[in-house]
Amino acid sequence: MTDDLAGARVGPEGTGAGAAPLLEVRGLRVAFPLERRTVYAVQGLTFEVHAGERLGIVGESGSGKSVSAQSIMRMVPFPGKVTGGQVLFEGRDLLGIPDAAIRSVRGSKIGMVPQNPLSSLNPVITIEAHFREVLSRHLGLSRSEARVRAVELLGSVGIPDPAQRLHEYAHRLSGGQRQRVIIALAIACRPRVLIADEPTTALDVTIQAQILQLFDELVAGANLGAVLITHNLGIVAAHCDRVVVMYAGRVMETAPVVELFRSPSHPYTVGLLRCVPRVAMHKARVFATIPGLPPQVTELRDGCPFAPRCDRVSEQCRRETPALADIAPGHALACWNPVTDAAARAEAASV
Amino acid sequence: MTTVQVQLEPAKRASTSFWHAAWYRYRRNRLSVVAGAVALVILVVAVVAPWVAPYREATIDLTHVLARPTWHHWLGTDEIGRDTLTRLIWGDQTSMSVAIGAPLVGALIGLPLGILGGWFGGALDWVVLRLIELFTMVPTILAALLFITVFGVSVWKLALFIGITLWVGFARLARAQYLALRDRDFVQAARAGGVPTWRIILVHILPNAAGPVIVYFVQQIPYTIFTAAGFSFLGLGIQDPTPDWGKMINDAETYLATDPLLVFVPVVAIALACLSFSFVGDGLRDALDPTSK
Repeated sequence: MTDDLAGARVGPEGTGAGAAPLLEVRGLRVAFPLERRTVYAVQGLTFEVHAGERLGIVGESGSGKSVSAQSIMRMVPFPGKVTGGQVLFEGRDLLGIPDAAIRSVRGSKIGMVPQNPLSSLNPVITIEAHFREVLSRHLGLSRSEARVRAVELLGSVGIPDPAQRLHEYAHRLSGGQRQRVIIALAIACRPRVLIADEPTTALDVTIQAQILQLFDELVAGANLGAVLITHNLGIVAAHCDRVVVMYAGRVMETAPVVELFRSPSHPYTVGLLRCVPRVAMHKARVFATIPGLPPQVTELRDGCPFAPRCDRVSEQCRRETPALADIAPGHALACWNPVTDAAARAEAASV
Repeated sequence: MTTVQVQLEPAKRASTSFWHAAWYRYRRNRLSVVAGAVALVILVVAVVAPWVAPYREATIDLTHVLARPTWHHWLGTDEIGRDTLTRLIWGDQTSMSVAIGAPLVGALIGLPLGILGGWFGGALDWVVLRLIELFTMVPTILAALLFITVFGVSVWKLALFIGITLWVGFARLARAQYLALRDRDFVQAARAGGVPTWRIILVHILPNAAGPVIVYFVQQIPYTIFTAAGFSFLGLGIQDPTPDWGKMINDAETYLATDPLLVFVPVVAIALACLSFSFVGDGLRDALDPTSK
């Protein structure tokens, strides 16, 4: 069942890795038809994730990060609809397979760590029941087998006294522990891909570091392909191998993490990097910002979506949409007037 | 010098589930606990009526008509010599059958409709909402009366007819619950874990919605007891020979001046049943649905 479409696999384009990507998103489009207008949340998103690779997707709120993650799992909330593109996983287009088939991919082949750990566990069923549910459904484990595996999993994510914890309800665990439980659930069926949608936003900083470290260990240990969605460039720098910078539902720039931080080329990327607070900044007493707000795209129009907020905007930017093109191996960019100025880059890269 | 005793033993308690916590909250309300005990007795007596009643339900003792309480007839007899205690106990069974049966019918019709409307939304929800509106417009008592005149009456028919008028509340409640719960993070998380829709509806959301539903169910019991007794009093409810509290009041009304006990007994029974279930409902509401305070 999994490999009948293997021929449709497309080799990596311009990436360092030689093998076919685990997960490949091509030209994804998601639209939300509302009563009076349509919001085009994702417009032609393209990226790929290889085994053992941690891909970071960054962008401001409303740039389409979460919706992209949801569409990989075919879980775009009503009335959103995927209007185009492909999500290739193990040679199959997940957007085209039947509902029953996608349910056996969710939580089994692709694990998801949702945004808010505090409310993502059902308050009226025990931790054990959460595990039993996915383990019996996807792996066909019996009650006692599931219990053994759940203890093992909880131990592996660093929960003390896992056998005791199994009988408890979510409200007895701390936020960090709940997120560990959720991560354990996401990897319970040994998925190939792990998607984490801002896994640490609801946690405090010290716990954030622990959770992300756990994330790194799991990805390395199981050679997973991981997608980490965040708006925190600091997290990206420390916990990702490649970065996709999203804006208004499009990829603005994508590069290996070191490359992106060393030579950011899109004015938006440079702007984002400049916004990262750092110690030297307290002298200036202001935080750097990108003026304006990310747009809610309700009309499909030519031109770069970042043009209204860009300091390097030209006539061409307003008329024509720049296409994503390689500027170096593994480094692609969608911009007519990329930042080449070494000084600006250096300032941005001093993170 | 005072000695301060420090408890070194760590507070160890088994994990409290939602239901444990609810029972703890319920227990603190003494009135509800007492009412719960009374309600339990009423229910148990209803179930074991055939074994505890001193006589068969329709036994007539024409030698003792309108008798005062005696050793043979603890609560006296009525105008055709039927033992009042026997009729009280059998009437309990009748009343409870209707009182539990009607909300059960209402829940069986209303919950699935409300759940479907709330979960799936869209056209299905539109239909459910229009149905709710349609039935809200019809006065419930008149509707039940209409059914009784057309189809006749028995204990189960009465439960069915009153139940049909009760489904709207259950549907509305379930719809609201599912509407609120379907977008909660843990539901999304369950979907992301590949849990099938039916399991999410039944295993993940239903227990979360159960509190308010149980409270509403119990609150409908006194209403139903009263409505059923009302029908019987009007002569439209349960008919002879089936004993029924409302019917007992109706029969005894004529002898109110001479034999007040005959009216007094069923009136107290109805009042006690209504009150106890009401207080149980209040206690459950406070215990299960802390938001409604």
